[in-house]
Amino acid sequence: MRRGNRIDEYLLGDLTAVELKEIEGRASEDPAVRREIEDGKAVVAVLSSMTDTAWSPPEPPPLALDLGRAEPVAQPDRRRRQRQSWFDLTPRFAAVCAASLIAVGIGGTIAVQQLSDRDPGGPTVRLASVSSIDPQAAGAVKLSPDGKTATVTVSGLKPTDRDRYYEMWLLNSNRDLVSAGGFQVGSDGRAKVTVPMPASMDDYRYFDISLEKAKGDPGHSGTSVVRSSALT
Amino acid sequence: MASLSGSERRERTKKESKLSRDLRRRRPDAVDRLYAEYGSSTFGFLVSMLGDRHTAEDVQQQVFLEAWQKADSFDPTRGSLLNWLLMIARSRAIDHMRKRRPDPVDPSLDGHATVDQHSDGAIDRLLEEWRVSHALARIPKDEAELLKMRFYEDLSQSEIASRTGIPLGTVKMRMVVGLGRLRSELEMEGGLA
Repeated sequence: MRRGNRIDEYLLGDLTAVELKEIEGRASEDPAVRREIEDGKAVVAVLSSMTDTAWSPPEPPPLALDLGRAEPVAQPDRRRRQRQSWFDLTPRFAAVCAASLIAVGIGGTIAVQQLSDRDPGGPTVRLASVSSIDPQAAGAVKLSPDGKTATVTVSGLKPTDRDRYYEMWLLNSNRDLVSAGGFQVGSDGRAKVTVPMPASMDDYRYFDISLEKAKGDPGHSGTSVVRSSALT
Repeated sequence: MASLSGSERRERTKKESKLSRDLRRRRPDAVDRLYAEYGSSTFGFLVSMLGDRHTAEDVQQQVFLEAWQKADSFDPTRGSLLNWLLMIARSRAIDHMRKRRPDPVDPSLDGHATVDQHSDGAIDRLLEEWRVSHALARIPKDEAELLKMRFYEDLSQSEIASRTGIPLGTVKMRMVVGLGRLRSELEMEGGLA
């Protein structure tokens, strides 16, 4: 049972020296008071360490359960994307090879076109380092006016080798993403590539570049090196 | 007296009992009421734990589906609906973290530090945080706002009075009342840990 305001005043540090002595005296004599004060201190400790998120909780999504089927149904505003097939881009890959650009991958690969002299002239998205792997890494993504291709310029990346490459992603979350192609980086730590956009940038929140193992899982490795800020 | 009165406590207990009973009886509106009451807290916990809103949205649906499917397993003598749901959320979030590859963490989620999946202590602290957050949502907003200024912004009562234009004595009184209500709400949920 709670003993009311005096303990709350104590927890808020509001008591005078006399009042403080009085409450501490009660606590020393009455285990219930002592326990209530300890419980209150625990609450105050949590309050003092709570993040802004807990003070201002995010709005939950609408509940989307079909109770008749007793299975979750897709959120209406979710955008699911399967990873783009490596093989879809094979013809383009041939052109890329002809252009002497690097494209790597195991079990099929991705295409990277050399940046032409033409400046696409569309909107530009800045990329910043999000990893201690390449802390100096930075870059930009410039969309073509029709949004069908993107030119990616990056610098400050660690050079890749036969076992590793960088991969570009349109990303909402770890389960909602699509690959936009991969590339390698030479000793100067720079790369500039143009890739066909696998989907509209409007459908994704981030442009992300990850470091991938050539023989690894074809999904996102979880190791992002640069990323845009939220696009929407 | 700031704390909940006996009748308020009885009313709250009655409401929760009815909700859990309706859930067990598979009344379709029960899960909606459950979501309205607790959805924000479980979702906030999941976002904090998983570090990604979209993933949390998926797990959130799983949590309430499981609550619907396993309503019979809720035992009010062992804890509140909030704690039951948070335990389901904790389990489903851990399941998710164990099976997924390392995530690209969303950098826009400021303050949403992903909890180390192996750190039970960190998860327990997060659960406490969201129990308190849930209780804060049940006290008057002006009192919760004063507590936020005091504990999150680390303002003194004089600074709060100056910022808000509320007399210092009123600030002190509302803060004491608010903390009292908050502790009562937490008691209703079984306290911390």
